[in-house]
Amino acid sequence: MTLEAVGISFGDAARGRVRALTDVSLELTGGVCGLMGQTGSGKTTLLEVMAGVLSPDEGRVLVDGENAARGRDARERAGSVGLVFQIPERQFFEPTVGDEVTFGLRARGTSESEARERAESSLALMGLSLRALARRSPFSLSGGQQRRVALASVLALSPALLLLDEPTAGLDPRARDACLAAVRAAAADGATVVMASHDANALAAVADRVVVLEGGRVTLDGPVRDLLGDASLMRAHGLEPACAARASAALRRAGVPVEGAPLTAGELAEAIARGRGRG
Amino acid sequence: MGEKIVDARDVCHAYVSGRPTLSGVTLSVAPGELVAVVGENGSGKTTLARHLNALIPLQAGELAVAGLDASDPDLLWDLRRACGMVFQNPENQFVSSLVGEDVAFGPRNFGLGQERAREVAREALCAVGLEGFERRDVHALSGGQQQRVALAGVLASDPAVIVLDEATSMIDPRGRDELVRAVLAAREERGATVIWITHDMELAARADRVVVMRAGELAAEGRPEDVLTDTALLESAGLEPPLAARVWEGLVELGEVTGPAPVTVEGLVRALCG
Repeated sequence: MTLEAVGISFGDAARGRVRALTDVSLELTGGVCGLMGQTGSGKTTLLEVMAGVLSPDEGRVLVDGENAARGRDARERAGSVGLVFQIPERQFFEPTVGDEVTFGLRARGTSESEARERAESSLALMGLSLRALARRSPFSLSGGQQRRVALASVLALSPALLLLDEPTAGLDPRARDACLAAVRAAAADGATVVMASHDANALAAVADRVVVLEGGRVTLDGPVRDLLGDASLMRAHGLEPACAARASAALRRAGVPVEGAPLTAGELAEAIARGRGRG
Repeated sequence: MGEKIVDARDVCHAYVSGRPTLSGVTLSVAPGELVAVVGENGSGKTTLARHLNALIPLQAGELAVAGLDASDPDLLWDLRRACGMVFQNPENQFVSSLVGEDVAFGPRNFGLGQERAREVAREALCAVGLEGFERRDVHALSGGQQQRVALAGVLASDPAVIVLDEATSMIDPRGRDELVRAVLAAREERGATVIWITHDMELAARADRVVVMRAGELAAEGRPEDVLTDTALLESAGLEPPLAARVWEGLVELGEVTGPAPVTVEGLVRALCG
């Protein structure tokens, strides 16, 4: 799958024009692609123009060579692209959680019973129960529950392209693990996932590859370990490395040998043990 | 404990839907203390925080903040002034789109004249590293800057207690570091008491004391090095130890080290170099 967003601007000469994305071209071959960058680097804009929910006033947005931003192509692709917004309230509009999670399926013509079944299983993936939440308003839920309901309602549609904007923000460790497991499962089922996140540890756990945006351009693109495991490279781009990489750098500075580029606590413990064995 | 700036005894609360969100929480905080409150979503952290700021009325139990009785309706405004809150989503807490006006809103409401309120706002913006931001549009700021504007709005009312409810979870790492630095500086310079509700165990590891909430109850409290290394306790509360403690646990399993686990990266470095 190819994604291309070139010369994306909003506004006009009279109101003032803002260039959000200069040139982003990505060739995605399945799996999970992490999208990092400081606030204002263009991550959210990229996801929203790709999903066709945001139409730029100028520029070209192509998904597999087709115009993703406007018109018939966007409507036809709507069923195959799922976007989970950074602020989940932005995507809710149904009065109950049950209606919210089954909306996309019903709109697609899925039978009531199958829609319910899929809603149940996608909510269960996120550690939530349809039975408990079906009649609740999505707006009455806690922030963490809203985020998981938003993700479940998109996962229920099994989109070919899953675009996630900060899906772990505000989640506690248990909900975060459930969310990351669901992201991995979607990728294993064949979805191409693009996940924008500031959470280097979450990306270290699920991403195969990481793309860094700066000022609307791709400035780094590589395997997750090469980027998130390299504390000085990440810092040079104003980003936070995985916690284990930060600890590795601190240990090396203090003279403790750490081999490789560990991304998790377990990997770091093993890398320290190997270093001590050699010492 | 001697003097108490927060004194909660047996506080219970249930929302209209019925299930109790707080079941008999007793918590004392000393002036100047930095307390981290951790717990999974729905454990009662936010309900506890809202009580401290009198955003929800006390249903059962006793609560005093800065010596002000939360059950006395006449003290409501004094209590809100004594305890300032920074919320999760910065955009939800602004009352004006101009930074200077937003920060001066509290002092104006507490009776200061326009000039004096402006001066207080200017000082508070300096304290959070946003000197000269008075005429900026809050909505055009980064998330980290917005949270510092929210913190400045709190500081402008010179509260005895600052409560941060997941204040770093919606902002990027740079913004988080900026906010943490500003809060620690406010604590240092003003002697403010800080109650930090967070999922960030690395942040909790830097507190004087950690309080673990579980299903509406205070499940444990103590020094970070004791609480954040208790894997069974944390697991029961849906939490996990900070990275340093998890690395140490891995090294213990590999037979490389023994002894108590560190909770910060600095502590891990010291333990391995010592």
